[in-house]
Amino acid sequence: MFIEFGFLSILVCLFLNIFTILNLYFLFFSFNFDRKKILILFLSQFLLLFSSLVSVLYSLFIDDFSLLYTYSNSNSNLPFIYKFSALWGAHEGSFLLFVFLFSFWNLFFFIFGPRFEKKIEITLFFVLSFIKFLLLLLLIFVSNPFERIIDNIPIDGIDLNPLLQDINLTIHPPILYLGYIGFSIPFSFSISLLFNNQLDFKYFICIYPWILISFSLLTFGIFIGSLWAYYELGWGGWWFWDPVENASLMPWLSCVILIHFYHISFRKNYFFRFVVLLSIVTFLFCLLGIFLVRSGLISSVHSFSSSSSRGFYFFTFFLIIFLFSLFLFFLRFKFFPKNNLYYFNFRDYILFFSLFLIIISLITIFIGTFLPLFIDLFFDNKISIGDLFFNIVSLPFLALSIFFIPFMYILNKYSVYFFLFSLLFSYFFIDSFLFWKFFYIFLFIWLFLNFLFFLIKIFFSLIKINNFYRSFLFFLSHFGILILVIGISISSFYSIEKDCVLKIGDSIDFLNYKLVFNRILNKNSYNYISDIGEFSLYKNSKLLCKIFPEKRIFFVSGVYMTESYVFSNFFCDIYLALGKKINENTWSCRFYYKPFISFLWFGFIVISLYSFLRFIILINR
Amino acid sequence: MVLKNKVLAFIFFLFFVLFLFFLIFYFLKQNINLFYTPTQINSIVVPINKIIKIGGFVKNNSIKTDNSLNVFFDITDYDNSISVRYNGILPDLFAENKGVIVIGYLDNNFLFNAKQVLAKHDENYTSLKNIDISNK
Repeated sequence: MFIEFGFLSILVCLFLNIFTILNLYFLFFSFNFDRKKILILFLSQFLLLFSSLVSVLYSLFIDDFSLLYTYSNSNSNLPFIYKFSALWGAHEGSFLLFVFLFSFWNLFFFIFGPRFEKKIEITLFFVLSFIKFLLLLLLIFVSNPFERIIDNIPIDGIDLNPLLQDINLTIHPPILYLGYIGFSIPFSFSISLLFNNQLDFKYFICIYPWILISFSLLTFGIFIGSLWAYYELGWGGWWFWDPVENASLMPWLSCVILIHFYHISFRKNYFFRFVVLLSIVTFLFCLLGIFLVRSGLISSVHSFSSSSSRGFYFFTFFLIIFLFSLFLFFLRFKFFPKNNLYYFNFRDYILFFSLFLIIISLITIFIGTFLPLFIDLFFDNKISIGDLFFNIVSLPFLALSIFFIPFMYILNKYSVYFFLFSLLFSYFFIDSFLFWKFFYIFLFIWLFLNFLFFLIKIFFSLIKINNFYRSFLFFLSHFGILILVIGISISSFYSIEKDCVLKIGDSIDFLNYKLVFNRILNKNSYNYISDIGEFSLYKNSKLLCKIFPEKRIFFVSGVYMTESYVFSNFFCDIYLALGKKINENTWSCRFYYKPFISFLWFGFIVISLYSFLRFIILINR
Repeated sequence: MVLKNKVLAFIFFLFFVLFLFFLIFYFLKQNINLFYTPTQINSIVVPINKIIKIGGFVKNNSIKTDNSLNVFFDITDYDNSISVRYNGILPDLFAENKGVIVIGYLDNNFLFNAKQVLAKHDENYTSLKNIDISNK
């Protein structure tokens, strides 16, 4: 009964949405803009979507297996917290969550967002409502989570995918979705400016914090996803150049370019066209990502359902928005204000060049992600792009653009020496000469020295630095990149990786650590039984801690799941996972030693936190 | 800027972009892994000692292990099959009759040396129910 109520509320929401669209249409031509009326409409849509989300959640909690969605994604033994994961673990539920969050973000922006002229504002909300209308149609007709099983109601469900039974994955989708959805605001704002022919940069200043908040959320979402891959999925890796990961990286990079072009526009009143175009493109990348994940056309560990008929509808949805927005952009192309002739200095050219590099990198990622899909569709031939392509083409472009970061504000008279020093250091102190290793270690030392010197300069002579405020903000915003580069370069080039067979009593030696296999324990839990290996970790023959990697068997699905154990301190992670039982006392194990991996997580957090704080500061102005 | 300089700058830029695209496509060509099925491997010419992908199902009673990390198994598409050697830890979802994708190269004895073994799982994670065996 509850479920039918949920479905009904979705239908009512659709009608209210159509009503809102009509209302906005008529308001556009009338004289006064009644905000209260629109607010009530937005609020009621939000509440209706919320209640339908709750109805699915309720059916998960009471184990109502007559609902198809509950049956295929839950089980009566599933722990409480993972019922939330189950709610957005599969296609239908996660799409419901997506629409709900979209509605939430609309409301949030309506209340806390900036006020513009009437026509701009109405067009903005019109575009948002129209996107929501399309999303609701997709939800009702293509991915309905309210489907019932009519006869032969099953007694128990098939359980949630054990891979998704992880706390990181409970919070990953909502945050990532909010990041994606956030870009709908600059998108519809750009469309609104284009439509009303009010192409003036001063409007864009108010929308900038809303770009930052989505950037922050997107970064945090990617961070949580990587963390999950590191602990749960990837046997120690955190980024695999998987199509779905690329789908989240593309809007991220596009947003990075957008933010930089915004700043150029802000200072020099130049490139406003690019700002508008990029804010459209970023949202299109988000939609493309959603389409890619849900189409089932691409083989990926993350992919949702494999029905490609659904993919067709999603692609149509994407195409409508794509064609419409770009058509509008090129229609208004010559109405943009004339760029006043401005002479750029050295710094600007450096910035342009590094942005150009990021664009190239973005294009290569785009090609690498979509070429297999393209060839599959048009030539009926299956290929895949190896991750080596991304590592030797996309990544170096990004790294090169990072190399230019200190050139902006941080460069000083000693930088030449830093450059030479890092060149020589990375040349002579790298044990095996590998070009990439040399390159990335060089990059890290070069960044580190420049940033360190800048910090010292700030510390000792606060006043002497010219335009202190700007360069300090620059420092803070790029500080996360430095930490990220340290984490990535050291952890990928100095990690130790070993697959081995261990008997009880055997040990592994590495550096000054020693790992001893003590015994195997057994444990029973809600929905799985597990073998737990007990290992002792010694450093310089002193006992440091005990490590308990786990092998779980989920008895509902009979699926094995590896629960690795990570011992981490600030400077290194020691990662151990049980492989397969060979006989009673012997197990195969995978073991990693990863130095400085915590810097990686820290870098993500710093980037995300900084843009979040900027959002808070800017929004209060 | 004089018109001549503008044209020169444009030509220079064009060549730069062309060079970049040449570079990108060169590396792209190097890194394309073609996807084969066991039937295709037996019927058409497949490059030897080059990284390729094979998809199919793990054959019944074909998994052989010793006390080391070496694993031998057969991949089948229920018409033909091919033997695979792998040294390492298999993924959790790897099992008989389940879908699998291996990345590696074919050696001169027609034994496939896998560098990576992936057990595919969709949202319903019953491993690979409906792997699309292309051109069957």
